[in-house]
Amino acid sequence: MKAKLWITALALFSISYVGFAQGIVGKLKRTASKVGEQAVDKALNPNSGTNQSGTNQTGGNQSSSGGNNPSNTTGGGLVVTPPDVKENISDAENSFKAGNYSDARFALKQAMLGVEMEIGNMVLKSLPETVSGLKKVDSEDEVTSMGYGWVGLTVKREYSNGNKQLNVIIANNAAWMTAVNMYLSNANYASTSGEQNWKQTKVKGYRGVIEYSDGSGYKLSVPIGQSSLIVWDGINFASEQEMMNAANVFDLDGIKNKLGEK
Amino acid sequence: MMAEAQEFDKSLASAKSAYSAGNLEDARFNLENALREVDATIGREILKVLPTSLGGLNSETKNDQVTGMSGGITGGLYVHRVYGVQAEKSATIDIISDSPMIAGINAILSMPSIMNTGNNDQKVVKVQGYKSLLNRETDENNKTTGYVLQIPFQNSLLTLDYSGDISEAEMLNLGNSLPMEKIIKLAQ
Repeated sequence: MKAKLWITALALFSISYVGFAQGIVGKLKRTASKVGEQAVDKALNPNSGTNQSGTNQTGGNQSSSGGNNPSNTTGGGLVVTPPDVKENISDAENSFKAGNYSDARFALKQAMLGVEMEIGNMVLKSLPETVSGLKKVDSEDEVTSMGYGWVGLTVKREYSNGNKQLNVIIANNAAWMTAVNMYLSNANYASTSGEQNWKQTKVKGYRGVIEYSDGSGYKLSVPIGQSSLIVWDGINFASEQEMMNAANVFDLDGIKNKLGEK
Repeated sequence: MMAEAQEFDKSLASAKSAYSAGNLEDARFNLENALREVDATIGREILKVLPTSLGGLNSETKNDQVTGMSGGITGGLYVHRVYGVQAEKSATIDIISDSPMIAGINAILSMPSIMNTGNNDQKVVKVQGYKSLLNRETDENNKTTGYVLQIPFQNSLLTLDYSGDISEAEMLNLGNSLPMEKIIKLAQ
């Protein structure tokens, strides 16, 4: 009996010791982890980590993850005025004459960026305000350009109403568009691929491809001109016809002309 | 050079007048042309600093190119020089700016351990301090037939392609003999 009691006591002690040891190890791990994080924080940003510096007071919101880095809550963002085209053309001229070709190149790229941004904004302004009962979302309007090269000019607009949404992206003068054009205009390839979730279609006389997936809805891609593509993404559109009706609201000839396409 | 300067001036003048007239697409087209002229001029400047002989192979300057397919597609600087025309040995140097291949090569360079274990014919090396990708080319008997060395810098890519019997050390010596600093300064 006495022996049984001893065994039971020993077993209980072992269990509690293991638990205690685990607790200690866990605590050590947590402490080590915290010390490590603080050391990294300190190394990365000597002024962060404590509220003593006062930098966090202006920032206010601490990250919910428990880190001590301040969140940015101030700052006016970047000046997004497009580059001055005339000024950059003049810079390019002077740099080239001075034999400073690298600077001439930079100025020309800036001038092209300025021109492309103007073209993009012009296209954006020409797009309809509403499409199939969906209103444009001003904050999502976007014109991006790399100035020169294989990325080209991209114009983006979003229309939305509740959970129904239409995204429009117009890409122009991108070298990879040539490949897209070849792919889309090759009817033989399209008819022999055997895919059921996409098919060829026409929007205002322009040949394109419409795709559907349960996850992302309808996607309609139509090349316009030599190097431009317009893509509509329709989320929660009831049918293919509804999607086509939405695309037909857009003035494709007008967009093509503004992009200088033939 | 004179002709390039004239073309540049002409393109720039056309761009200026098109922009003033509100013809943005024409302005863009002419700016593109002016940029091509600048790229060609930079290309010729780079050709001047490239070695006239490489590993005993003389440059075939009549085949020098500053515009071409790659330049047209990527829309940037393109320099091409050939060394040697013998059947058993030859080399080419290509420099392409704004290359879409840069991102892919940089991705490989940033994970050297994976690449070094995955492909025995490819390794990451340093040439004049620049991380570069070295590819060994082989025949069906796994005998070395040449090496391709790709050195990315800023948004450009220099490719040294050597065909013929050459060791890895010799190939790296060739890479190290190139005037990288001068090329980079001109191409930036």
